[in-house]
Amino acid sequence: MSAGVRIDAQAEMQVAEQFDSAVQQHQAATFGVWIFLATELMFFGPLFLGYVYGRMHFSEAFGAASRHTDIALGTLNTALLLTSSATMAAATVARKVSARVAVWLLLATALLGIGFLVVKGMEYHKEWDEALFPGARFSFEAAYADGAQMFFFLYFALTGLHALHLFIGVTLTLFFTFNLRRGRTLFANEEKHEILALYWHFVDLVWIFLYPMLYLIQRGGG
Amino acid sequence: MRYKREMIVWTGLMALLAMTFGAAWLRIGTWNTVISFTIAVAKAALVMAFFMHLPESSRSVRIAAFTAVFMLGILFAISGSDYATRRVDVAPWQPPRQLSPIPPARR
Repeated sequence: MSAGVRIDAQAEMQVAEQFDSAVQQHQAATFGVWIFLATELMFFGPLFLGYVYGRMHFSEAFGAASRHTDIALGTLNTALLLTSSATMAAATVARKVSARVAVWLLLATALLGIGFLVVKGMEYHKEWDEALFPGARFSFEAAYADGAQMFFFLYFALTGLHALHLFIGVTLTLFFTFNLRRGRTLFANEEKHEILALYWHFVDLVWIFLYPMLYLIQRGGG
Repeated sequence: MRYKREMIVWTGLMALLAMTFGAAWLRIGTWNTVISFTIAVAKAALVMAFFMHLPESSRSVRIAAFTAVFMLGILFAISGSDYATRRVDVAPWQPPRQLSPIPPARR
């Protein structure tokens, strides 16, 4: 058994026995991760639907509540995440020619992701202090209190679920960074790298829609 | 330059972010939502096309991506039409009101 593992480790792009060729294996891996991302969209989907429902039925309260989110930190976070997607895409290109450059770009991606999570934590702290977390402590203008509480329930559910995904993405990216740095290319091979990049871009895509939903509606006052 | 494409897409994404941020402060009612959603779709299209390489992907991958969005559309269309036509009950937990006796029917 152990001999078999050692032989596998010597070749970077070993084709598993169920595949005819490396090309087929690559296609299967890419297709598989896209199916996974499709199910991820189903995961976020009901929360998006809940948001649209609330936005339509409590539009005034949602507008008032969204003005209480921190647009400066939200915009900064959007910029961080979009930049991290660009560095991840560059890392995918770099991976094909130079593992050394790819390591630095992966590290930059992970750091941008960590930066996002830190900023998000600062926002949560601020919102907790302002009594915007749904529950017994929640307080808001009486006229909009019910709708606003629903907005903040969705806000924490959506951003929390997104932050969990990003945390997983950061952990995987750091794993890839350190394995690639140590030359463990069986783990951090090109195929798995592309899968990681697809996942990272998906997390970015979710945020692209969360940003206008949670920070921008009726920002100027309607 | 090797990373030219990524740089150009990143510049485009940042420009769109600046646009959507700026447009959010205008007082134009429903158009705020239209503009910010359109820009979000544009940003998503850039990421999917140039970072996730969707146009160069195999047909099966594009079908998977399309199916995901299509299923989300079904969720929104069917569940959404249910909720959209449903009345919000103000306070279903309110105690029942004392009703005045029904007046006797006139002959």
